[in-house]
Amino acid sequence: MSERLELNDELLCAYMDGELDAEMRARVEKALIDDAGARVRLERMRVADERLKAEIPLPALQPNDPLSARILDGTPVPRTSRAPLRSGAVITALAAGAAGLVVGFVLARSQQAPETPVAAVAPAPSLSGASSNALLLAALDGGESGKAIDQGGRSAQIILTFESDDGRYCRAFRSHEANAAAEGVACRNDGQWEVVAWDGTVDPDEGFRAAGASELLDDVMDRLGGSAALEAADERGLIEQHWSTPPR
Amino acid sequence: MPDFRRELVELLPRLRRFASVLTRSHDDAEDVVQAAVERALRHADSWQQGTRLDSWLYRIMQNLWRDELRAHRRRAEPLDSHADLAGPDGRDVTIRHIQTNEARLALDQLPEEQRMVIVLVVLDGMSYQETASILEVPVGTVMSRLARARAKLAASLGEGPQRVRAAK
Repeated sequence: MSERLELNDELLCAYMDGELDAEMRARVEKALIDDAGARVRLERMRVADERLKAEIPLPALQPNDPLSARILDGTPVPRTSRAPLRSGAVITALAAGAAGLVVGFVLARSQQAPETPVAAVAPAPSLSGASSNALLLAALDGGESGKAIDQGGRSAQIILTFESDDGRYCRAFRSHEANAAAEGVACRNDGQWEVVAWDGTVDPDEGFRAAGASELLDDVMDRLGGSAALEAADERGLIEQHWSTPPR
Repeated sequence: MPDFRRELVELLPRLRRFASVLTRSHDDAEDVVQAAVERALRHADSWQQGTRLDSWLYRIMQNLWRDELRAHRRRAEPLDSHADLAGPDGRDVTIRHIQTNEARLALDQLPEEQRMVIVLVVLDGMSYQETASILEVPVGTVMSRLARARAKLAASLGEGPQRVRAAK
């Protein structure tokens, strides 16, 4: 004699969705006969499913759909009046752990005088040396969000710029070279960019990056707090003024 | 490439529905779909025929939306998403809005992780394994999210449409 089956919601869902093998399905059906409460729950979930399907149908594809035309023959899609999503802006796929996180190093300029106070000089862990740092520095100093700066097979891109709660300008960035990619946040401190978060475990294959694993950078940015991302015009103004305007 | 483009066009209705559930806003959904399509076209060479284009596009859209949320710090903001459902064609849209309100509202109350399993399993009819692959979580996580989501939806939608009662 088999043990009485507990008809919890997970099991009822799997039953509804055809995810059970024949034997388990038969056991669920047998258990349902004696469990009026489970029958009610199952029926309510079914009704809810049917309403969702009926009330959130697939939208019809119109013959003159502008995005279809864009896909098929390259016709530009009219832009909405809203700020466009930065399709090039990507800071996802951070590894779930903190293994790649390095904080607190200051990017050094090659032309810096030796006496310039630099708290720490560290090449980014997954980037190779000074030339990559110089490229990242160039992006932090003068890059607009969403636009990559490319140089010799490497690229650096600013994702967004914001003001932190402690009154600094901060920029989320992404660096990429042959087989390595990294993402992080740098904040302007005493006239220099200090990298306050770094993840060097990012999958360099941009197109197939994972979703939903970006808690690390999210957490750092949440802790920095601050404003919404700056608009492009404000960002350009700061770049032109070499980040000399104090945050509000 | 023509096959890729044709398949992409055929996917558009599903991409739009997925995005509308993801963003809870018609306008944001259209922006996400457009940006995802642009990215897919740029990376078309890296797509291998025979692999699932829908899974790839769904992941791209989630990434884009995550970036957008981050950029605008919108997580804490109540989105007036249902205002976006209204369109230029007056009465019909109003009626559609009322009709869709209850199921949409119930779905929109769920956290994103639960909305995603509902759209993939219930609306798209994907298997648990396919859903787990797209969301990059274990199948067990899909099952627990789905059970929690369905329990909440059953509480609000499970007794059928609410009747409008005449005022006394």
